[in-house]
Amino acid sequence: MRLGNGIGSIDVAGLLWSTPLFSLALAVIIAPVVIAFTRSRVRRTATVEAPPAAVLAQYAPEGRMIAAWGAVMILVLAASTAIIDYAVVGQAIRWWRFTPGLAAATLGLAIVFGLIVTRGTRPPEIPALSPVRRHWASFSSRTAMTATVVVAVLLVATTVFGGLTSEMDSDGNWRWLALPIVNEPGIDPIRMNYYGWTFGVPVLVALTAALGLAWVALDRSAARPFLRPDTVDAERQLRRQTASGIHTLVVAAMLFALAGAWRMIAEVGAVRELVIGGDAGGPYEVTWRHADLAAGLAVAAPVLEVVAFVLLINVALNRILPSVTVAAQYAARTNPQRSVVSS
Amino acid sequence: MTAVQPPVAERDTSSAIDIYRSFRGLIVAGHFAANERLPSVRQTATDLGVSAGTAAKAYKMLEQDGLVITRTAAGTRVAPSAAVLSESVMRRIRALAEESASAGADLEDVIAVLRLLGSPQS
Repeated sequence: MRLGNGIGSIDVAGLLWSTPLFSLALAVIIAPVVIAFTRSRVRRTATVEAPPAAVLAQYAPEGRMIAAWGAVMILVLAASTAIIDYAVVGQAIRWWRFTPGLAAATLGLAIVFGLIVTRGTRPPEIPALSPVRRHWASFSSRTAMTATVVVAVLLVATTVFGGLTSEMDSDGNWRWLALPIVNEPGIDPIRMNYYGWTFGVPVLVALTAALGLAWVALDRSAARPFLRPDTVDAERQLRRQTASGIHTLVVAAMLFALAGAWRMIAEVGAVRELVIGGDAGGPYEVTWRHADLAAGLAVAAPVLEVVAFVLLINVALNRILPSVTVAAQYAARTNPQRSVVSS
Repeated sequence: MTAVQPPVAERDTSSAIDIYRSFRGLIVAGHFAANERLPSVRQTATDLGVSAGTAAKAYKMLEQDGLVITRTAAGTRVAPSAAVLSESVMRRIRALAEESASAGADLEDVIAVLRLLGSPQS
C-alpha cells in the first residue's frame, strides 16, 4: 500500500522503527500485559507472610526510590533521544550519545546505596545468627544474574568490535568506518559515521561505574543484619525485591546503550553494496563484509529498546511494597532469645 | 540496686563462647558441608551485634577444635573430617528443601520419599 505522497506503508513502519520514542510507545502498550503476568506469578509463588510494619518501614525508602528511578530513567532516555535526534545542536560529536541511561542508572544506584546504608540498615533487635555466607549475589535470581552478565558482555563486545574497526577523523575522533573501493585501490575509501572509540570509551567508563555501583549496593543490601529471627523470611523477600530492582535498572540502561550502538552500526550496514559509476568507465564497488550482521542489528536494536522500556515501566509501576494495612494483619512473632536462622 | 556488669573482656569471651557453641552445634549436626565457607567474621559480628574481635575469637576456637580450617584468601571453611555430608550432596539437599517449600510440599513427606528411595529395596 502506498500513501498519497508516494511513501509506502513499509517505509512508514521503517521510519517509526528508526526512533527509540516509537519503542517507548510500543513498550507502553506491552507493559500492562507484562505487569499483569508478573503480578499473577508473584501471587502464585508468594509463600511468606506480609512483613511487620517495622520491617516495611526499614525497606520502604529503597523500594520507593528504585520505583521512582525507573520513571526518572524513562524520562532521561526519552529526553536524551529527543535531544540527539531532533534538537539542533550543530554537528558537534556528541561523545556522550550512548551514556545518558548508564549515567542515570549510576546516579540512581548511588542514591539507593545511600538509602540502604542509612535508612535500610538497623542494628538487630534480637540477634539472629545466619550460618550462610551472604554476598552480593545472595538475593539475586538466576534470571537476573544471567541477564545482567549477558547484556554486559554483549555491550562490551559491541564496543570493542566498534572501536577496533573504527578509524580516526582529522580532528582525532575515532568515529569513522572506512569502506574501501575494492576495484579502485587508488581512490580514498568512503567514510561513514560509526560507533568507534569516541563513543565506545565513554560507554565503557559509564558501564564500569553502573556495574560497580550495582555490585556495591547488592553487597551492602545482603550484608546488613536481620532485625529479628522472626522477620528473616520477610526480610529475605524484601532483599530479593531490592536486588531485582537494582538488576532491572542496570540491565535496562545497558540494553538502551546497546540498542543505540547497534542502530549506529546498522546505519553503515545500509551501505550493503554501493556501486557508483566512475569517470574511467567501470563502476566503483563498495562492500562491507559485516553488512549482513549490521542488517540484523537494525532489526534487533528496537527490540532491545522495547524490552528496556518495558522493564523500566514494570519497575516503576509494579514495585510497590505491600501496604501497611496488610502488615498490620501480620501477627508479629517475637523471640526473646538469640536464634539460629536458616539463611 | 544497680546490676554489676562484668568487665568488657569477660563479656567478649562469653559472647565468643556462645558463638563458638552455636557454630559447633551446626557443624556437628550436619548443617554445613565439607569445605563449605562459614560466614565472614564481619557478617557474624554484624548479625550478632558483637565486635569483629569477638567473632574472630570464636572462629579461632573452632579452628583449635579442628572443626574449621582458615586459609588466607580462602576464608574459613568446614574441615572435611568434621562435616557430615559432602558439598555436592548438601547443595542438592538445600535445593530440594527450597523447591519443596515453594511447591508447598510437606517436609515429612519429602523425607519419607527420600528414605524410600535410599532404602536397599528401592
